[in-house]
Amino acid sequence: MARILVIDDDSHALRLIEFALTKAGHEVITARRGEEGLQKAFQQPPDLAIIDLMMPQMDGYEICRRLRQNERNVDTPIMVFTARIQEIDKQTALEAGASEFLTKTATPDELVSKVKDLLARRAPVPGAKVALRRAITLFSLRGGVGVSSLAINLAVTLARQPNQKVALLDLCFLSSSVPLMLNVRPKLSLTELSKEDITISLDSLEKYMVAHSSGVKVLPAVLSLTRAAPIPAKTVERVLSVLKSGFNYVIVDTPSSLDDMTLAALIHSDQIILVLVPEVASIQAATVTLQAFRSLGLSEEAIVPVVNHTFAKGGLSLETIQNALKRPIKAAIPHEPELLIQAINSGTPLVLSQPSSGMATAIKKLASVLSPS
Amino acid sequence: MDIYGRGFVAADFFTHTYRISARADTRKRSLADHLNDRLTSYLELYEAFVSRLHKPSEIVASYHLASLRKDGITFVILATEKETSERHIYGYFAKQLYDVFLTVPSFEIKGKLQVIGKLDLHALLVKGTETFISISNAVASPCLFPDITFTGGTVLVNKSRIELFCTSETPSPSS
Repeated sequence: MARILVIDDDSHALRLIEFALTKAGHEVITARRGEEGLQKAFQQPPDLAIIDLMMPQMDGYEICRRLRQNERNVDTPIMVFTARIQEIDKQTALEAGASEFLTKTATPDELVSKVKDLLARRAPVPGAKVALRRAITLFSLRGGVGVSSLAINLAVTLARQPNQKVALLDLCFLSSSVPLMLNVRPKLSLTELSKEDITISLDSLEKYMVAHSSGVKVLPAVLSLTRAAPIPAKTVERVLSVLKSGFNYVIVDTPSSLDDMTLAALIHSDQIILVLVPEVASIQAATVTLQAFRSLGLSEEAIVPVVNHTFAKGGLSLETIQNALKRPIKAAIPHEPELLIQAINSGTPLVLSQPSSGMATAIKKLASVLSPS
Repeated sequence: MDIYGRGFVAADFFTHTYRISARADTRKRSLADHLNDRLTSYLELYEAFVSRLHKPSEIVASYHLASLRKDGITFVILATEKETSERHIYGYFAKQLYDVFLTVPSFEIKGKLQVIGKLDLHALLVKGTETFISISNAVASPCLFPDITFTGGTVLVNKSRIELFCTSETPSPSS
């Protein structure tokens, strides 16, 4: 039995759909207006939503868009059930976020059968890899520990997994190196986006992003340092939420400060990779960061400490670091400076240019920790 | 799924600039018969949702009640064939389907015309008393946006709006 939300302004249609679905054993929640339906979906996300297109005040396309922008309903299957029968209507509905399109020429049995199919599609298949939608932010309060490099290589590694769409959100507006390290030439950036009065959607974000050959879509922080300006926390929050609705992974590269913009990214992330190097100052910064995370109420489980060996000798041992942080280190990236510098200079991420290197192997291992089967 | 109850037909009505998705109260007659009724000039529509032709899926206005001038309608798309006039279906002569191509303001329409007996264009377009003719398996495209297509079981085309009517010489093999 599933909990199904039906939004249709036609009371006759609503009764008929409710009757058919209740008879099939489902719990049906109804709404005759878009706003009312959205409110119900936001309060308690349904297992499936059936939405009419032609409704006064707010049409079905808009309801689909708003549901998809809502964090709790990003994955809710949506069936558009309409008297509009044209291909252009179907195309627009799917673009707005609908999972299925059914015309009202369908019989109640066909409707019930489609509902069953959609619910089955959503149910996890035992042993199958679950489609995740995660925002992963990489952060270090101490600069120069290789956060950007790690973010890029992690994004590329995740994008090489089958059927994974990955976005790389660059928030380093004073020291943006992501476009350079990936050798991409963006025409617009998050800075321009934050200055424009536009509705942030997947469609509108598309023109601000640049695609890397690995499949990663990059949203750079800034095009030129002369134009650099802090990005409002609200913009970061909205961009992150929208990107999550269209990508399996959103990797966020952050500057080494706990400003409003970075905090917005950290608070709205599903996982945080805390990057540190094996030296005392970095451990101290990591300890302070963990205290800050606790005061922000961030989940302990979401924090993944990673040690990046940026120097050859004399570093603290992993055991010492784990004791200092009172938590296990999930990954350790080995020291391979020549390969890394070569990769940066050539604009090809290390996981692509030196896939069998120790660093690439460690990053792949980290990716597998972050994307469990 | 008869969600509208008896007497109402859901259809897409096209003028040369707008698409109106609505329900028509046909009072238990077919929509074709209602459109061809010369005693009334207007068609009463319920739950009318208006879209402009260049963005035909975007709803720009919606009203519970609307009245549409029949002579302003270019064509009407119905989801199924059953809403056409019953009078065409029976006869002593074999039914034959002809491929047709016609142009109306802003649109071109391709489909099949069902004819009983021999096709007589003059009789169909000039002498015939019906204002709307039925084209089955029709595909209509706005001539300025040919990538957009509108399809349906039946298209009822306003004869007075037809600019060009082309047909195959012989019935199509599928008839």
